[in-house]
Amino acid sequence: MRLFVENEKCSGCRACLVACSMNLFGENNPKKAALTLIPLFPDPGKFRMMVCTQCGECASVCPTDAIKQNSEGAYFVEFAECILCEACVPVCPEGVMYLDNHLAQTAWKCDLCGDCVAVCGTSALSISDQLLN
Amino acid sequence: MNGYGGSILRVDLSSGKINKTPTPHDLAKEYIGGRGFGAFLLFTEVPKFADPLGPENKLILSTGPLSGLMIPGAGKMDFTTKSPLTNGYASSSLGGMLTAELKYAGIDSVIFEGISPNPVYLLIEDDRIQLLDATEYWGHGTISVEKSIKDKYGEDYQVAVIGPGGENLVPFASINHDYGRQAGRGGVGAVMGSKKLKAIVVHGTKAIPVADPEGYRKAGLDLFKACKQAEGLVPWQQYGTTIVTSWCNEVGALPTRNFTSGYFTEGKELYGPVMREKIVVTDKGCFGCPSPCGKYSRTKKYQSNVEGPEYETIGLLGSNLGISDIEDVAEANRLCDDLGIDTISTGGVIGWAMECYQKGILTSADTDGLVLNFGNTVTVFELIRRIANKQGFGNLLSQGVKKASGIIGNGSEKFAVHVKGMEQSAYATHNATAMLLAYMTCDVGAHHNRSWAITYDLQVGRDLVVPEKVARIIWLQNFRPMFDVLGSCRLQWVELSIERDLYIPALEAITGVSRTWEDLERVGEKIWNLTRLFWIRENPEFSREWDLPSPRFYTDPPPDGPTAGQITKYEDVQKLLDMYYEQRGWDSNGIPKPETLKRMKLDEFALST
Amino acid sequence: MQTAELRPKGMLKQYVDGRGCVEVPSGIPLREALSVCGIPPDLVAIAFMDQKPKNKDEIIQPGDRIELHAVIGGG
Repeated sequence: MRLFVENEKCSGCRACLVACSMNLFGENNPKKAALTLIPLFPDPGKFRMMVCTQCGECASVCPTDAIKQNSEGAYFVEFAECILCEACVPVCPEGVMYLDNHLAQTAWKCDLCGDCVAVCGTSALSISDQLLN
Repeated sequence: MNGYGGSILRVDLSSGKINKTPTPHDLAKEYIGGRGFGAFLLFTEVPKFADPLGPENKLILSTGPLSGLMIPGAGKMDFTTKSPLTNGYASSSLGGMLTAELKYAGIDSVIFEGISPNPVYLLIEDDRIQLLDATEYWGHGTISVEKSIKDKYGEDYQVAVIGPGGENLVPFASINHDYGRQAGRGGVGAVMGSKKLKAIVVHGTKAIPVADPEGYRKAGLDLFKACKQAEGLVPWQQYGTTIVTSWCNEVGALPTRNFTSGYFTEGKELYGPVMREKIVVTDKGCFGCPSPCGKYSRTKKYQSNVEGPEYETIGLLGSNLGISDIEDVAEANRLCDDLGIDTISTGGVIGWAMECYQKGILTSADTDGLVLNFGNTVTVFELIRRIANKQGFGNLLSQGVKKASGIIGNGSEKFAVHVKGMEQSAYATHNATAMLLAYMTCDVGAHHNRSWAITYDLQVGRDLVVPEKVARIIWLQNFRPMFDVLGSCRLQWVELSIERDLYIPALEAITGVSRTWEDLERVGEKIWNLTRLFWIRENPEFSREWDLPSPRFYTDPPPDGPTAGQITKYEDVQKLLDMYYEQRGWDSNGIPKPETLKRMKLDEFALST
Repeated sequence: MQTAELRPKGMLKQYVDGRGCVEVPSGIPLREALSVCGIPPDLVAIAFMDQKPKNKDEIIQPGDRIELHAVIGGG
């Protein structure tokens, strides 16, 4: 199971980013979300989202095993065990491993909570084993 | 304070001094936020008879307690000022991302005062706030400046910027943001230009506190669920405001050739589905919006991009000017956006000029040799440029249709379609008395969004002049602008018909303050009366004459279309106004009565009028 | 007789006793079908079928399922 995004449906609204930061940190702060919006404006005038594919690369390099799997099989960061070494950030193929000392004393990533899907009005985001057209 | 950014930022552009103070609890309690803050600060801080383009006027930006939160449409903010177009109250709503970013920077309102000696932009990065030199951007269009600033600082910096229109103090200049959203009406862009403020750039990384995170999360998700399940979601997402173009034409509400008619025979080429197929690239949303109505488009004809055109622009720069090619309208839209002038007022004044030309009141000798026949796209593009730059014939038009028709005379005042100096937006009201009253009594001039009532007119009888219609308009005026106070979009209620009661638990969980819609409408009524007092204070000759519509709507029945031969009677116009004043608790000149003001605790403000 | 289905949404339902689904004859323009079931055509802002808009002058085909939307709140 993983998050999927259909970019052509994304409207750039960022509701997913707020939902995500609420889930991870209990805060309304899209800068602390675990997915990334890339607006391509003024040309061509489209949006792209980068999302976690649950590939597990981050977990495989974490020296303290702070990145674990939950009951859904999704990888998540155990905040208390993160030592901010940044090993996980460059290995993420999607660039959705996050670490910023100014914002949080931990790395963070998508834990597949599904709140982003709940607030995505265009159904650009979905969770499944594979993307069905 | 839960739900709020926490501070009011005051920027004195004359001295360069920047000052931040905590948002007063009393202000949040009484006026809640957004447009409420704007109205209070405008009335109490801008001195009587201030020159709208002078140092004493203030440009007041306000977010609301819902802005930036996990609430559908939490992306709206208010710009309030004294209007250079009308000399009265101006309040313009801006969507996009800016309101959220201001909240994350810990800011509820920004008050711009004075006039900068040189072009500047304000840069807010959390607590680091600077006024920086904007010379390199001055003179440039809004699209390229936004891009330059984002390239310089980062894509997630949010930018509001004026174009040459604002720099040149065109009284209907707009403020642009997010490559296609505007604070469009009332000349807020001109006030920004008069202060030599080119742009506002914001980056915020703080969190917005809420009183009850669990309750807020649940209430927010309930709101999103209601939106996603709404019966009208798909058509609204696909067409946005253009959903009404065909229907307005079918019911005689589409402004055509300077509102001479409500029906455009060539209108089919402007309809929503045609537009979507021809030019729309992306459904673009404001912050937190599950029902993105923005239609980001690319024209093949002009190889250029624009967010839009919205219905209003299709009306005023399309059918109102006799233009039937949606790509032409899109390009006219782009020019207005980039140059920074309101598409509605621009279309209104050009339509007036075209009728003058048709009637021989203006000739090529007056118009720089430009031929102003209806449908002349090339002329329209050129006029837009000349208006924004106040060049040649554009100089006359740039003054707006009220002043321009006053100068030209020759009976042209009779077909200048405005109220209080603001050009009417895109609903022809030859025979739709509730909507006509809406335009007459709107608090900023002839704008539709306070109390849109076209369907209501059709349901109960177009030409009926009854107290129920007046009551409906008043209720809508007290209710709908509360979204502008809360800092979130009204269109989820307006277009998706979600239950408005769903907002109540969200608002309480966020702010910790329990409020019903009755409470909110009382605040709405208070703000409505306060801004009315502002008009009266600033314009000693203010009277019921100011609430009258264009004579077009009581003397000129349309020659064709569904409302052919239909026109509102002048006696009914006056009757509507009398009923409105009575129900509002105002006297026969539209001045709020002392007992009305006392009931709303506004009596202290009455003393200064 | 071949039929089609009209699906009024929101306030339009009040014109058909609150029903969300009304059977109408096919082979006539949508505008006429609206009048037949008592829905004022002027109040129908958009008719939608298979996520595509349907013109009120179009002839209804057998088996068509057409959503009808009013614009209540407006702009």
